[in-house]
Amino acid sequence: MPRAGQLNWGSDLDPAGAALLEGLTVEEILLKGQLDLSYALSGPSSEQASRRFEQILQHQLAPAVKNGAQLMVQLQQEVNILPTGCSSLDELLRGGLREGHIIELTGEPASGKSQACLLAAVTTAARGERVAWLDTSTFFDAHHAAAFYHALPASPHKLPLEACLDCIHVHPVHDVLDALSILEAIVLQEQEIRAGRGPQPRQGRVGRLSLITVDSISALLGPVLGSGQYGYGQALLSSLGHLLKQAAASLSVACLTTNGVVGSSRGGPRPALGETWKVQPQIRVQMHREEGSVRWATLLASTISASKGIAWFQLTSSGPQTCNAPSGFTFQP
Amino acid sequence: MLSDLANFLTPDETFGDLLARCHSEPLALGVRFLEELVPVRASQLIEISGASGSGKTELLTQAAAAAILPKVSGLDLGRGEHAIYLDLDGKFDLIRLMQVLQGRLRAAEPEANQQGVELPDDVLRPSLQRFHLIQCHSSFDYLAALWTLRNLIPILQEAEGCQLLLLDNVAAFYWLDRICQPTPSAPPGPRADLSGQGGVLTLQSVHAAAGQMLKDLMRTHRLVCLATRHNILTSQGDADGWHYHDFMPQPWQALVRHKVLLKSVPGSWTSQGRSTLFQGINQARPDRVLTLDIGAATASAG
Repeated sequence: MPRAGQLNWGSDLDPAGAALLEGLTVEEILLKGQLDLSYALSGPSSEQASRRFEQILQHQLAPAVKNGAQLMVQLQQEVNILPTGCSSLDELLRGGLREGHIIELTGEPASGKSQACLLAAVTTAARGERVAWLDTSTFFDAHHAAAFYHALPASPHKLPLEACLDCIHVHPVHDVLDALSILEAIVLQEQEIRAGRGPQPRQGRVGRLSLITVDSISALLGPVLGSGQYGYGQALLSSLGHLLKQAAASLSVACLTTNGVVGSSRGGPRPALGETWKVQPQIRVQMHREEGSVRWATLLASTISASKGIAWFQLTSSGPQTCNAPSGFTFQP
Repeated sequence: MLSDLANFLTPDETFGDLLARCHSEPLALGVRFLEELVPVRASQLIEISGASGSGKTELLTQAAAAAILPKVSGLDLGRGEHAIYLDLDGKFDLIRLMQVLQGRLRAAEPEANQQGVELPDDVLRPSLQRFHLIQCHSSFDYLAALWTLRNLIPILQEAEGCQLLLLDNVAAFYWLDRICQPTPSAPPGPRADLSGQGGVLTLQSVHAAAGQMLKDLMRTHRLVCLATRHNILTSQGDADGWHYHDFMPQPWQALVRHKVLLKSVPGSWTSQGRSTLFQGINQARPDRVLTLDIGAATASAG
C-alpha cells in the first residue's frame, strides 16, 4: 500500500498539508478514523487535507459502489454462462458455469469431478476462450483432451484441435503457496491484456480468459490444515478462497474447483476442508457413483435457491455424457 | 447571581420531551421472520449467525428487497428507500434479489386488485437503482468502504431515505486478520499518536476501527444494521444445533444489540437437493423457534 504522501494529492493541497501526511501509510489513517485525523492534522490545512484524503480514498482506493441497475447491465452484457459440455450438468447448474462465481465439484474419488472439469475446459477452449488449469495431480492429459474435443458437436466457431489445446494453459502446482503466486500472476497478466498491453485478444471473446480450474483444491489445502499451526492453515485457505473470488469477480471469469469428501458422523459424506472453506464457493455440486460408469450429481449449495434435482451422466471415452436414470432409483439424501 | 442559579436549575427538557425526541418505534423491516424474532430500532445492530447454508444471506436479500420496493399505500410491498449492502463474502446474487422482488410483487397483486390499487408499471428498475452494492475483498476494502459511506449515506438520505445497512459476513477475513501481528513498537516521531498500531491490519485493530466507524454511522444517520456472521468454529457437543462459539473480538461484540441464530432444518432436503427450511431464534429468548420457508419467495413465519 502506498504511503499517504505518495498519493496523487493534486495541486489544491498546500505544502504544509502534504508535509503532514508524509510518512503515514493509508492503513494508519484508516485505522485511526476521521476524528483522529483532523485532530492530528490540526492547523489551517487540516480540513482540506482530510477532505482531499477522503476523495482520493473514494476514487482510487475504496471498492466501487454499484447500484442494482448498473449490476443488471453488467450481468446482461458482460457475464456469460459457460456450458460444461454435459447437458444434464448444465441443466442442474441452470445453463452452466456463471462467470464471476466459484463452482465446486465435490465427491468421492472416481466420481467424475476431474473429467467434468476437463470437458468444461475443452468446451470453453474450442470456442477460442482461454482456460488456466492449475493441476495438482497431473490429471491433465492431452490425449484425453483430444478425445473429448473430437466428441464435441461440430460448429463454425469450433477451433481446430491444436488451436483449442493452445488455449488451455496447464500450471502444475505442488502446494498452496505455488497456487497463490500462479493465480496472482494469471490475474495480473489478464489485467494487462485487457488494458490493451501485451498480446492482443482477437475479436469478440476469442483469446479472453474465461475459466480458471483448480483440480483439486483439497490436495492443496489438506496438508496445511493438518499441521499443528491451525490458524496459519486456515489463513492460507482463506487467502486462496478470497483470491479466487477476487479473480472471478474482477475479471469476470468462472472458477471451477474440485474437492474431496470426508465421512461424517451425521451420516453421509460431506465436502472436505471444513467450515471456513464451505463459505467460499458460490455453487457446490456433489457427485456420486452409481453402478458401472454411471454417475449422478446434486446441487448442495447455490445462491439461487430452486434447482432442477438430479443430473445423471455417464463417464465415456469422450467425456461425461448425459444418460438416463437407472430404473427403480429413488433419491435418498 | 440568583437568576443564574435559577437558570441553572431550570430543566433543559422534561422526560416527556426526551421521550418524544428519542423514542423510536420499531422499524418495520418487511421481513416478518425477523420482525417477530427481534424488535429492530434505529441505531441498532442485529447479528445473524449460523453455519454455512443456514439462510443468512437470504435474510439480508429479503430485507434489501423490502427496503427498495416502492411504497404503495394500503399494500405491504416496500418502503421505497435506499439500501446499502456490504458484501465481504461475495455471496450476493443479483438474480436472487430479482427473484425475491418479483415474488413480493406477485404476492402483493391479489391484495392490490382487491383494494383497487394500481401497482406502478415499471417497478423493478427504479427499485434496483435504490440498491447499492459494495464488494470487499480484504479488510482494507472493508475499512475504506466504511469510510466512504460517510459521504454516501447523507446523499441517499436526502434523496429517498436510507435506513438500512446490510453487512454480509463480518467474519469473512477472520483468519487472515488473525495471523497478522502488530509491529513491535511504533517509530517515535511527531505523529506517534497516529501510528500507534504501526498501520498493521490485525483482528483487533480492524474491528476496533470498523466498530467505531459503524457506531458513528449508525448513530449519526439512525441506521439499522443487519450483519451476518458465519460460524467458522463449530462447537463440540452441539446437540440441538443452537450452540455457538463467540469468536469475534470485543469491539464487534460491543456493537451487537440482538443476536439471531439460524440453522437449516434437518430433513427438509427435498428432491431439489437443497434445504429450503430454516429455523431461527433470538438468543435472548431461546425457547421461541421460528421457521423460515424460502421455498415461497417471501419469508413467512410460523
